[in-house]
Amino acid sequence: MSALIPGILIKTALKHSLHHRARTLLLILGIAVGVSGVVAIDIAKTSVGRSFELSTDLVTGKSTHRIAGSHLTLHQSLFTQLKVSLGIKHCAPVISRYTQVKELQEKQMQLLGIDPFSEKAFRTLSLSPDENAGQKSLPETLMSGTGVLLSRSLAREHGLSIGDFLTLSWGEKKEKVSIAGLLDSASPMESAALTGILVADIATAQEILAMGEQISHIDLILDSEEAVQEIKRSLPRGAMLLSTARSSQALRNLSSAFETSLTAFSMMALFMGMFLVYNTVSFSVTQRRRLNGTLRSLGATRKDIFMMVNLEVLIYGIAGSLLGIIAGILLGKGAVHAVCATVSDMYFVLTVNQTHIAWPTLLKGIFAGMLSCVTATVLPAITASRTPPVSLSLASASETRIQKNAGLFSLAGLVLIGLSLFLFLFPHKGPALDYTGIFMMFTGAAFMVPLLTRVATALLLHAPAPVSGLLSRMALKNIVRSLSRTSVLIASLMVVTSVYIGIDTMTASFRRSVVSWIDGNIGGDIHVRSADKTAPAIPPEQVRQIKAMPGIKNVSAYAMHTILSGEKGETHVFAYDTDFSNKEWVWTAAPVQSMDTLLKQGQIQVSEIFAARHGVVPGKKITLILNTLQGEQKFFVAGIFRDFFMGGGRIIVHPATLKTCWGFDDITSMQLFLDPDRETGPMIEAIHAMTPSHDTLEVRSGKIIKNSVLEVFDNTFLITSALQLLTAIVALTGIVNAVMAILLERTREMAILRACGAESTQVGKLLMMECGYSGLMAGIFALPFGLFLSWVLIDVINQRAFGWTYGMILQPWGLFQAVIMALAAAMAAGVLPAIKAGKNDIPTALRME
Amino acid sequence: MDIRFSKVTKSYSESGARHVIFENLDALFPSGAVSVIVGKSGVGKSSLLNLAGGIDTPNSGTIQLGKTQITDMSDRERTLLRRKKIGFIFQFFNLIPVLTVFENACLIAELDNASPRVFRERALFLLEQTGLYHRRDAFPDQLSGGEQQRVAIVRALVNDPEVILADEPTGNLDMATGRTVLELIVRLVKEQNKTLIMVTHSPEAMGFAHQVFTFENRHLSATLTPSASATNSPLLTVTDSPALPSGDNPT
Repeated sequence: MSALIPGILIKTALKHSLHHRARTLLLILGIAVGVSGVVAIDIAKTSVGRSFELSTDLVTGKSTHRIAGSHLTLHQSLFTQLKVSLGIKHCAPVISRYTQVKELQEKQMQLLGIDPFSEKAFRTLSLSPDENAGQKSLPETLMSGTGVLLSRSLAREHGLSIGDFLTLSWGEKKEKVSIAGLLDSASPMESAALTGILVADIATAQEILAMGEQISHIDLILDSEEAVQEIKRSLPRGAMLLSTARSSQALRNLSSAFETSLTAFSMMALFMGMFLVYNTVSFSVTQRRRLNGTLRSLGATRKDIFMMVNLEVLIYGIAGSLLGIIAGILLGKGAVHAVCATVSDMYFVLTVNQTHIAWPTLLKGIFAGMLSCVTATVLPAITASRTPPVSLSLASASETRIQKNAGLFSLAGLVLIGLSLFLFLFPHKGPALDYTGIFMMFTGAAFMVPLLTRVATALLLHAPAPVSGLLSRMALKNIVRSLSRTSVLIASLMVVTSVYIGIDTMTASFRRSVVSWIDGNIGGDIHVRSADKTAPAIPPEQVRQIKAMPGIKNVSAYAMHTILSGEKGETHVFAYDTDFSNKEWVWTAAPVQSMDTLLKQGQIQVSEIFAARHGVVPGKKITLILNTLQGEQKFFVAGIFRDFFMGGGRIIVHPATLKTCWGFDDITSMQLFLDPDRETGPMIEAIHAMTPSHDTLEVRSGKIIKNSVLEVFDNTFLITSALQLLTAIVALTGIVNAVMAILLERTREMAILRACGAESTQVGKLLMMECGYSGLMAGIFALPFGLFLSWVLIDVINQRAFGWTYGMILQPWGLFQAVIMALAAAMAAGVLPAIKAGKNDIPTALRME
Repeated sequence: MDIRFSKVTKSYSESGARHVIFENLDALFPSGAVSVIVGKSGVGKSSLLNLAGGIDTPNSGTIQLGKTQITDMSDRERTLLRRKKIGFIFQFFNLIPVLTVFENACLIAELDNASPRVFRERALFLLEQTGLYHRRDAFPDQLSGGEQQRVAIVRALVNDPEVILADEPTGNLDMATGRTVLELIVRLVKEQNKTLIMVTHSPEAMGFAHQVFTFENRHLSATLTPSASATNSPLLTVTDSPALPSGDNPT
């Protein structure tokens, strides 16, 4: 039979698949879905990395170290001291502040104030030769006026030219500046990096930002440890020397958990794609049982059939992978912006959104496509190769195997679930192992489906009417009879429903906790803070006046400052003057009642995100070293509280500690709790009326703040909803495939029923009942696994990766909805096959075997 | 109930070409008679049976079951007619594997929403008649071929149909079992005064028939057997050529 191998076999297989175009398309689509997910997320991830490099490298330049102040500013005299007293050759003063630019569609830009004469060793900025031809040099341009330099490509993109004005805004402040020149670079990378910055002379930047004689930091190039130690010794109070590389790395590491989660999403898309391929190929194998039997009887070996199926799928796999890469690039381009925005919101500001498509990404896509094809095809190909060499072969062999081994499968499933539990409880860093655990958990759950289905069917068969009707009994027995197909259907639907339950319970519990945190922590009716971010203190007189206003029941007044604490980076420090917030304690060193005493003694409270990020572990490590005006100081942590404050967490200290350690003695924010009969609107008006100028205080309704926080929350979880939808679509396609395969295997049986007098609706009803029962079982099986998943998401992944903890809130209605959803999905998938079953040509079907 | 074919044409298309199975065929299968159709493979015996049972429809011509013209009926009406008036017996038994012997026997009656008391009694009676009462809780795969075909016979008779259509009922059985099954079908049909049309290759079957139809070159020719006189059917006694040969119009 060697003449048949491989050409004619492949030709036969390809002709067959071309005859069934819809299914072939589904196969290609399955691979494309997986590959596009991998490529899109990889593009998003590498782009975040590249954007980070571009956003920081140009700004950091060639500096090895940086001197920064604990209050995020330094007096400019320090620069002179370094130059003159210590004779540091390479040092440059820098002002750095993020601003939004109206004319650039509110794009976030880093305003970089530099000293053109100190710059040369650090940054290689150059003016665009076209627009600035015959004009001044870069130092001359910078020092000649109050303008800023903008990227040439960005200016072109927004139709701006030299002399045009830009409106910069930060906090509530706004300032108009002119464009003094355009920056450009021959290097595409540098050119891209320039799109995230505005460059001004340091004096101009000080003027624009009203910083007086303050600067943000001093960049240094230090080539010896002696120089480092010498500078450290000579630094004044509140200034610290930081390694640029280590700070950048620490910053970059912040988003690693988020990026691992993205990888998990792409792996899920790949898994879904594989499921689609598996389903399509196994259906195709069922459809071709007769053809394969004939080929076997004509002399094709098992290996030939195995290779035929694999080669055919690989051919379509290449097509699917290419399609997936194209879709992935398009999706990736769209995702980069969203992912960069999330990273900017949650971890660090990315001023450059650069889509970076690297060859390794595309190769990874092709490799993922091919690998998923081979993996998903192995089982169906083995089934095909086992087709006996007669055309009358039945599916009973695989059924007998699965029936016999249902117990063994369940045991394997239990072992996998046990191993996943071990992974979840085993202490480790990063979510990668947890996602592996989730994969193992679902594989284990799927392995248990055959036995669970048999048990559930046995129970249902003993149920009273209407379950005891003939069609109902037939449907239930058919489910067990076609376990090789129905268990795939039930398992896939179970996984989808579990994911739905898991994510739904997690987001609902998270949302409920956020709402309760908002009510407890920022639940004041009116929020008041200074409109000036550079001078955030509310004048004491105004604090007194507001506190004394009639209609106010309580006031939470506090100081919130951002300090720089060595390589811990920016840290938010709170000190409450009066506090009506309701903190939920994760851990306390002493009873909550004595917290004030502990704070007075100089101890601190940290939010759990801060604790997670900086390694505070109750019982093991409850001290923190923070940079203060007096240098590094050790603080005891009195308690860890649950908190959803964005920006890397926060610490709470006593006002006295804030004053002695960081020199702040002010109130920056107030929350007003009104008497029940008072309305918010008129009170806001009254506060505005008593302030000398309307724009000195920012007065907002608590309700609006609450809504905007929840809006941000809901937007953050949009990606999970999209994922749920993708999972559901793929699973539904898979279910339709499985039901069609069942129908194909039973065509003759359905025809017999029809010949014996069953109406087409009765045959359709039978199939619908099978789908319905399968869906119901899938929904019920999904309940424990879904809740297990939500536990993993809430108590393991969120806690380990992001530092959030919150209680799981069970929603009986939500669980009921999930079961109904599974039932409805299965029945929806059965509609077309059921109609088809009723319309089958009876004489043709009766001739089949 | 007589079954009458008048000018019936049946053809099918394959790869654009039209293949005629028979054209302008006339035939009469009288009530209460055992009619056997013989012929080579592929001549259209099973197609004729499918048309008689309303499973398939002709391209032209009419088919009457008693006074009912089934060619004018909708698919649903034909299904209901089949359920109530016709019993099918197939070569490969075609029992539903997930149902027990008793459940298989009751299948059609249950589909018809018949009174359980009545059909269950009748199913048990027929199972007793066929010697399968003690196997009523067994599943098809636990039965021998002969037993399975006996269950199929019970299934065909349980709804008390007027016509039994059997498509090579002994084709998948050894000779001895085939003979037993054949005797059983004919005995039950005669006892219960049913009309039987049987497609078969078995020469033995002709010994049980009142008339034998032979399919050859798209023609159907009928021969009365000696046992035809034993029946009460006036059609068989009035003419010796109740089934008229089809028109000689080969395409």
